[in-house]
Amino acid sequence: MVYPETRYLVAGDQNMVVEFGDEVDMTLNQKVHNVVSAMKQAKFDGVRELIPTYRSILVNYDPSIISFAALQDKLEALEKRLDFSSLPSPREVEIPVVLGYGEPYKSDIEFVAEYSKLGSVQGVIELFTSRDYLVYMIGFLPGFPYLGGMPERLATPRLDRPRISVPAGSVGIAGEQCGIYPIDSPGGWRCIGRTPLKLFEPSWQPPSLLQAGDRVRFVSISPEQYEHIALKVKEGTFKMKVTSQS
Amino acid sequence: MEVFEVIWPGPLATIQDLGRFSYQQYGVPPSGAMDGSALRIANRLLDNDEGAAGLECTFSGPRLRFLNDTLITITGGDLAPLLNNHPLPMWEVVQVRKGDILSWRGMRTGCRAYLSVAGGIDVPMVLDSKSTYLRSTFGGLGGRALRTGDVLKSVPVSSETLEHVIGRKVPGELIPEHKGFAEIRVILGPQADHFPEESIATFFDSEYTITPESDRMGYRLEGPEIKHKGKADTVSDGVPLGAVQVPGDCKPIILMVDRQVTGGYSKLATVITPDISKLGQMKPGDRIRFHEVSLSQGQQLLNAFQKMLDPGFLPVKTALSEVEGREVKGG
Repeated sequence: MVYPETRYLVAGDQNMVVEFGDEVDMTLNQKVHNVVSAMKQAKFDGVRELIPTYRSILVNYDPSIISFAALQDKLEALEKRLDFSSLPSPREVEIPVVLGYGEPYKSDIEFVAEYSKLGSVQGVIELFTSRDYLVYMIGFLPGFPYLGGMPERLATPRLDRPRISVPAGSVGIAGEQCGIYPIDSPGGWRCIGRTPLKLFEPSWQPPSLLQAGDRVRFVSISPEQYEHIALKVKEGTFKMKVTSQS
Repeated sequence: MEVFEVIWPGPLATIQDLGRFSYQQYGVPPSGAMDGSALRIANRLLDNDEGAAGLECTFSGPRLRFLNDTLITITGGDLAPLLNNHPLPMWEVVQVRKGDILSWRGMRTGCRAYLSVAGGIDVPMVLDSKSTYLRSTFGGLGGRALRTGDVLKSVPVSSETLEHVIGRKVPGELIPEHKGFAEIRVILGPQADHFPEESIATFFDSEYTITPESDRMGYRLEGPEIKHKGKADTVSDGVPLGAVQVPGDCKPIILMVDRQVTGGYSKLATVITPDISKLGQMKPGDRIRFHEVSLSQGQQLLNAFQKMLDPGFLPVKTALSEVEGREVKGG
């Protein structure tokens, strides 16, 4: 649920958890991003780092500059006068993805087609690419986006036995969650496709392709297009399609 | 300047500074020295930037050959360093010569030693830090631990600086003692309300042992079970340094510098910053007991701890006055 009153929780001597609720929910998560945006604009002295998550913000602060109580007061006031129109609109990022081509993607998307009773891989592709997704948060691995907004019908349980290695760029489903592996990693999510885009690169500023609060639109591409884009990504000449919603 | 080459890397030696900040929102853990205060003191003795990169040596150190004359300082856990097979004092500035060999007998007390060289180790900055993050293979030396044959460079320093710091040492009473047992102070929260009172009482009344499944990411503890009120899992949220999370097996885990930035286990308490360095020196088999402090007590302790590490504080000044008029050894 979304709490009627925001909770301000002590997390050690220099962190505060600002908690808005206790579920995975798009409205709740949108509030997280709105408050993070407003806090970044407000630039409170003594606030060093903000980590947005599904339902809360971890605020790292310097208690020699601002006390817990003073920070809480500021945040309460900020939340009251939160003016959505003054916040920057979220970015909309287009992610090209080859769906159901090669392994493990073919077996996994066939499983999803069966499990969802959509009956065909094409049905999964159409439904999967029909929506915009919200980046709830980045976590688990550097640059790993937890995406919300997947059609419920596509919800599929994790693999019983996680794979030893899931290739970077794999787009996976775990229950109602959707995510993209930024680096090769062990993983138990059902991987229905792969993007040629690089999700994380330490030499970038910022290092993550996606940021919490971004909107993501998946665009189905062919294996040939995948190779073409992968080459451009490698050369560093690929231009990602990013628009700002108004 | 080429400072040393690695003859044998030892169990785990990585380049670390004080960590990588502001990138947790992108899923990047801070990394950095597990015993940050030891690294800061080593740097302070050498007049390096306090965040200069040093070598974190775990359980034992690497065998190194120095390629140039320079000054070094070793702090942290006592891994019994040797220079040309003679015991090398820790917590003081030591001169080394080209061709000298640094080796280690291995753990006596603590488990992580910090080797700082004058100027600091020179590796490229990655996301504003020189710290190595092994899991994602970036930072430090190509994101990996030292290997045989590696040659490391140091940031150049003036001869005036070198002369200025020769002979500095940390007074004995300021050198932390590392034993196989420590009291670790925590502040309850952020999710203490996920646990019944009996569990919280058990947590503070019991002793916990650090298990072998412990590393820079976190320490798994063995000891009496901490039961939850309901489920162990919660909706994933941010994980601060020192968070004590309790998964479904009811055994606490303390999250350290290479932790995942988000996690979905209930977090009972958070270790205060001054005690993180203490934990950084603890190894599998060591025992801890948790002690509760309030937020204001915790922040007072943090304040005192920061002051102790502030520039101009005692370790260096005392050391300087102590060595005044004394012959500079090895000079």
